[in-house]
Amino acid sequence: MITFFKKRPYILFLVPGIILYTALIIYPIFSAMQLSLYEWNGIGPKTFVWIRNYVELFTDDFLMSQFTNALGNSLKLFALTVFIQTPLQIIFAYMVYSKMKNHRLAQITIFAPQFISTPIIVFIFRLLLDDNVGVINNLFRIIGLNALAKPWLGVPELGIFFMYLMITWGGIGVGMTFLIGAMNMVSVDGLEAAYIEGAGYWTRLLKVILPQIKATIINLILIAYIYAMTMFDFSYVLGGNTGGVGGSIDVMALFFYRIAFGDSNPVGGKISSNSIGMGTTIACVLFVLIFAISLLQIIYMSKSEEDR
Amino acid sequence: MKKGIVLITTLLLLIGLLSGCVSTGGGKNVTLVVWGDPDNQAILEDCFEALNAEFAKQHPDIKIDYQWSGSFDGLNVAMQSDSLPDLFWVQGNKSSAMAEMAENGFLLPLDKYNPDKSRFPAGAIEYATVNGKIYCSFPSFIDYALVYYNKDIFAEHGLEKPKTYDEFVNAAKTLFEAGITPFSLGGDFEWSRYWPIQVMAATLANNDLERIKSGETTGEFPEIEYVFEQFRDMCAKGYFGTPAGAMDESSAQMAFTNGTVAMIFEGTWNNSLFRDLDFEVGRFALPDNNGVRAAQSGYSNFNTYAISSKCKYPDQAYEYIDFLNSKEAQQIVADYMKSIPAVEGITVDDPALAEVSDFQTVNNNIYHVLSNVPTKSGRPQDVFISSVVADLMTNSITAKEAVNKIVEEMNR
Repeated sequence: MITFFKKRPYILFLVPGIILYTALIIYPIFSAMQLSLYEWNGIGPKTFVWIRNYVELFTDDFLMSQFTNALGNSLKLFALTVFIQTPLQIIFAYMVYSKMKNHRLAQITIFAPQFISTPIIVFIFRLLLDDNVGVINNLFRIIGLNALAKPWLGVPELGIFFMYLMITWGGIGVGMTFLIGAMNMVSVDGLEAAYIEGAGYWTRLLKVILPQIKATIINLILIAYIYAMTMFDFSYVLGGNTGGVGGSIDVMALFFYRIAFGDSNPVGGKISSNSIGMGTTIACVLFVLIFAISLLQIIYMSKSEEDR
Repeated sequence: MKKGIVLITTLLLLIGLLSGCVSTGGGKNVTLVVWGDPDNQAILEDCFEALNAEFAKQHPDIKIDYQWSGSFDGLNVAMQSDSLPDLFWVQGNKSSAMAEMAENGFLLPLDKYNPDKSRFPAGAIEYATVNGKIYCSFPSFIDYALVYYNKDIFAEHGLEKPKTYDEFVNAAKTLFEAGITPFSLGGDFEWSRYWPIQVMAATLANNDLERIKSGETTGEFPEIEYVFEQFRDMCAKGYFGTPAGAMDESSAQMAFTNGTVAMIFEGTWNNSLFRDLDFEVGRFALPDNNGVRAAQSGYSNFNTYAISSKCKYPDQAYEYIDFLNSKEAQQIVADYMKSIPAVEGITVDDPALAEVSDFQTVNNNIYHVLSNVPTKSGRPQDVFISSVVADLMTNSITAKEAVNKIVEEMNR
């Protein structure tokens, strides 16, 4: 036995991590999968129902409409991140990387909201956009544009965009920091050569830097996807566990929470006779949605590595 | 020797601390964790501070660690993770939650303590009873939703408290045409956007609710459809602001209390929010076209608490329940909350009490009626509260479709 470990000492280093990972990650996943095969509300007796929860989730109009709405909103958040936030992060990172005037101040200013917790961010936006106390609405009233004074954060059609604005304001700095790190790894020789060849400021970003930080950008996009699928706090703080009027800001993680633990789903209500069974079913579907995309990204990245 | 004494003393102190209690003359100093009504901390906090102070005076050996659990979800999670506090707030038979908790063994039956029922009406005892056993303190006040209005705005526009439903609708129309938003609505919260329907259904759809209550769950429900149509129409016209439902509950309350909106549908449980404002507040139960004002059946759950079956000190926990059942505790609640008493001997010093008590009939509460429909797998009350009301508010479905959705659920 001792000889076995002497020959393979790395096993001793791996074991604690494997035990923790198994207990905290692998076991809960399999446990959730198992629970999704039961009808159970977390407190009463469990009944094994095989895949009936999955069938119900995809065939029951009430559940399916919530599922598609929440998934749609999560994907909207993801798309907004890819098409708005990521380009902005690249631009900001490039401006800091190229040491534009006051770049330190800019870096701190962009990163600082990261230190503010979600409820406070929502509160700040409420102070701006609330119908009663919002500064912007009061400004509209002062200048006579009364029709524009509205409880903007609650307008269903705009809810997702305001929520996205808050998420971006609060989190844009993190991705920017990753990108600054990646840009710092780019070979200076290549940039100097491009400069001598006459490439302008933005051309150097597009033609020299971006191709070399592609892996970081893809990773950021994957993180954005995972975030969009698992984000909960902004939706909950802004719209309660129903995700705003008509689920206008409902997202996948909130959908799971509402079914498993939600208030409109009080223990004892008819729907909640299966709250944990259906909740874990949604969690498993969510896991598959995240895992499938992550797997694609891993395959793509390893293929790119091989092609190099 | 000295070291030995120090060691023994330390050990004894440690044992005393670890046992979690110190003996005092045969009794025990125990601490009971109590979770309060998660949705109403703002209005109940002072009241429960006074209640707990009085309890502490009467029971110096029982310490109450009173907490606000934060949300309804917190209670659900605590139950599912088997970590309920010693005592916690329950809603009796207002929803099926307490029954399910009791049936699954989470609550301590209180019958062995023989609680004194003599002061309470039959409905209050029924509220606390599941399968013939008592599980919580008895409710001692009545609550219902009604209309609060700004008397100054009404006077400015030559309006008086409506005597019929048509007068009520006309008042809203007059205000709207004068550029005043008639109603404030906390539309992004499922309960606050529901209050108008609770009020209107009790006044205008009680016959249909009686039919459902008696087991009739198929066919047409014209009165309910009319109520839904009225609500949908008012939302579409902008009577609840534009767009209806963009405000959260507290913003809606604030819009009324700062005098920019003329009326709000609210519960008597929020009476204290509408006192001492810069304008005169009036209150009325909604009348039908014969002038009959209707309240909705329902006891206040302000002071209804149950004991967890795993409570380590059930006898002491019952002392708290017994205290909440006492006239003295109820008087404290009345002093703070100015609620309508459901038991004899409680006095309420509030000029508004005459207004909120001005109703001629107590009709059905639509949510309670739907909650009690015996369906196999349907969930009419959940579909109604989480989907139908929001869809009507946003004009996404017609009143007929809304009724059909509920009928379909009632028959699943």
